[in-house]
Amino acid sequence: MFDNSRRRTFVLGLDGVPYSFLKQAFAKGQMPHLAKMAGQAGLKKINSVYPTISSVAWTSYMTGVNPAEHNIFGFVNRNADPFRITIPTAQDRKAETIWSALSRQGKRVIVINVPLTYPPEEVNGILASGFLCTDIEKCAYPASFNRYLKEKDYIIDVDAWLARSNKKEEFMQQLHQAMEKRFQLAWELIEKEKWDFFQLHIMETDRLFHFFWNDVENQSEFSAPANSFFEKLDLFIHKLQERLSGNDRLLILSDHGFCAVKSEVQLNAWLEEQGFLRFEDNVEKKLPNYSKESLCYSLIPGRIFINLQGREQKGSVSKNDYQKLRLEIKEKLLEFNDPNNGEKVIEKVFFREEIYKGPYLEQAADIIAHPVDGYDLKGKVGAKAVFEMSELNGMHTYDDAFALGINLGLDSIDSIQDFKKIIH
Amino acid sequence: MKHLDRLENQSIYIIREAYSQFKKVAMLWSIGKDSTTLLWLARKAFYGKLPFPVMHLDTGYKFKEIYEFRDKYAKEWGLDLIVSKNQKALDRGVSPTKGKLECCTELKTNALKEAIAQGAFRALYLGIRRDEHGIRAKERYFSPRDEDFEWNYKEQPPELWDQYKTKAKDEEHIRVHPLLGWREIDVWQYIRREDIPIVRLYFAQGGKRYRSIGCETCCNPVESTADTIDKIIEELKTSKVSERSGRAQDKESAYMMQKLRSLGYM
Repeated sequence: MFDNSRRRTFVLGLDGVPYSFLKQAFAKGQMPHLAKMAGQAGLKKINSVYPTISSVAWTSYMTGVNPAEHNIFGFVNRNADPFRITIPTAQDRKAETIWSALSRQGKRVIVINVPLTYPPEEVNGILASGFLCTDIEKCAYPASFNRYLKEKDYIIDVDAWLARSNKKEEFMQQLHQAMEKRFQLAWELIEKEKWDFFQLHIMETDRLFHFFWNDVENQSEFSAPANSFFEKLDLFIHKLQERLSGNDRLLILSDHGFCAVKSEVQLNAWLEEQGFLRFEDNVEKKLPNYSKESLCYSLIPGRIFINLQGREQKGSVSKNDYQKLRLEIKEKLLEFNDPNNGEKVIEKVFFREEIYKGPYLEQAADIIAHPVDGYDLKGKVGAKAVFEMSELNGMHTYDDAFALGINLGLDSIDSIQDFKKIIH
Repeated sequence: MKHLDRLENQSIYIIREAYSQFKKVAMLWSIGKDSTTLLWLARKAFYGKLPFPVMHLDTGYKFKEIYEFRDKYAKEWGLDLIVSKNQKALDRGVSPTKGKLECCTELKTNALKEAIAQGAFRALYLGIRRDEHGIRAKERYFSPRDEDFEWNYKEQPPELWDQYKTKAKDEEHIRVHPLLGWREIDVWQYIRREDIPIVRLYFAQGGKRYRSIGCETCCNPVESTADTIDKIIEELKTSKVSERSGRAQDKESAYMMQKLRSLGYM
């Protein structure tokens, strides 16, 4: 009998690469190597998570459970009483990761740059954390690996301020550089280290789409460097497939899709317009200063918290009014239109118990609003207008992530949360 | 009060041990409750007269009560006080309103680097405690920093059965943390027992008090009616609020916030 357990698994995560983008690229003859693999293995369209952001999506991937079980609900959280904005990290994660489970089984794992793996957890192998690690000296387990990363001038994440301060050219260069550094690191580790499971994460695809979506969709000065970025990625995938043995499993996947931003939507400004969120005249407009009379407030993206008595520091909504208020807000959200064109802004409104199940449900927002593609829900307080534009021209979509498996059946996979059960 | 005696003995032992090893040492004094307690212990360790200087990193943004307290007790206790200020950065207009991160880096970290270089110090005493903050939980009583000022917290020598690793390589300086094992409430109980003078900002006035003090620009008081040490100790027994909740972002989360902002996630 063939010994399945000796097979190695390589997972390549391409943050935010849409299924539809790949389909179009393949049709235009771009990314020929990936196109060929997709032709043979099939390219599967999969769903992301709510809210559709990388920290929640990849945590659902790595733990195989929903946010109410893994306790990561967004890039920012709030402590209800006393009111404080906090930033969740891997320390807040309450469910076991794929690599931790494999480590326990004695498998050797290498995990590079996956979002929300900072601070790095102990594994049987190497884990270099990704997005939200801000210090290369604390990036990896084991700590000795930090020196190595530093010597290689490894880049954890690009500096998006470049794109926001009119240095898009430099930003584009950095995207190429960061990806190439990561490839270089991957080659060295693939060659020099023994591994049973290898996860390599490319964050730069997400960053590129956020700031260059228009340049990818339409011709511009940045179309050429964007195309060559994807050529490099395609070539890497080709070489990777050649380097793996015929028995090895290969999974390539993304965590969400992308589409063009029609407008950013400042949901707190809208809540204020509707009279749900209030501020006294004499205070600085920031979230912790909301007035006691407020009925709710929002954290990015589309997460609405009822100002509930007994839970929130300034809670004023009684338990009896909680459900009535949620229904009222839901109704208003579904009627919320863009005054510029009359289009709906919100596609779906969920109460938390409708989409999450688990012991950390209480940590979730009371209402989760999911926008119509094109309307990017933001959480600023004191914004000048509800509808705004920024330097970001691409936003995440829910139903347009992809997966491709070689020696790995994806029939049971519908969403990013389903992979853990097939990786062992 | 056996518990306090044990903490006191251990801290005094560490203070003496570090001094006998390094000689070229200094103590950081932020004038807060912890470093003032540390200073008190050091004075006890050396019978009232410190054989090394005490350093205040003056950002220029401290509470006026802090400056008054510093000057009064520096004189009364006969301290060799080094006031370390990054005047160049202040002249350039570095301030918390322009950016908290740059402000802390310039006025604290860089001011300290400069002062260590000038005094050629091989070890520094700090009044940090393990229960203050997540990252401090991993600290050691003797904690080496390399020439880049970096602390490799996962590759530290173990400190088993109180066998402290006090030796430093040439390029390093050692941070010595005699209060590491103290809890906030231990510090207050010790202050009460020893009657240590404390900046009055810690005591409630008009329904608020400071639980942790630093720069006036970056500290907020907590709601409290504790206007005596006894009441503070009682309050701490039931409080669920973290000690540093009134402090502005710690450096790491400030970096994270900046990162999230750059991507439009905040």
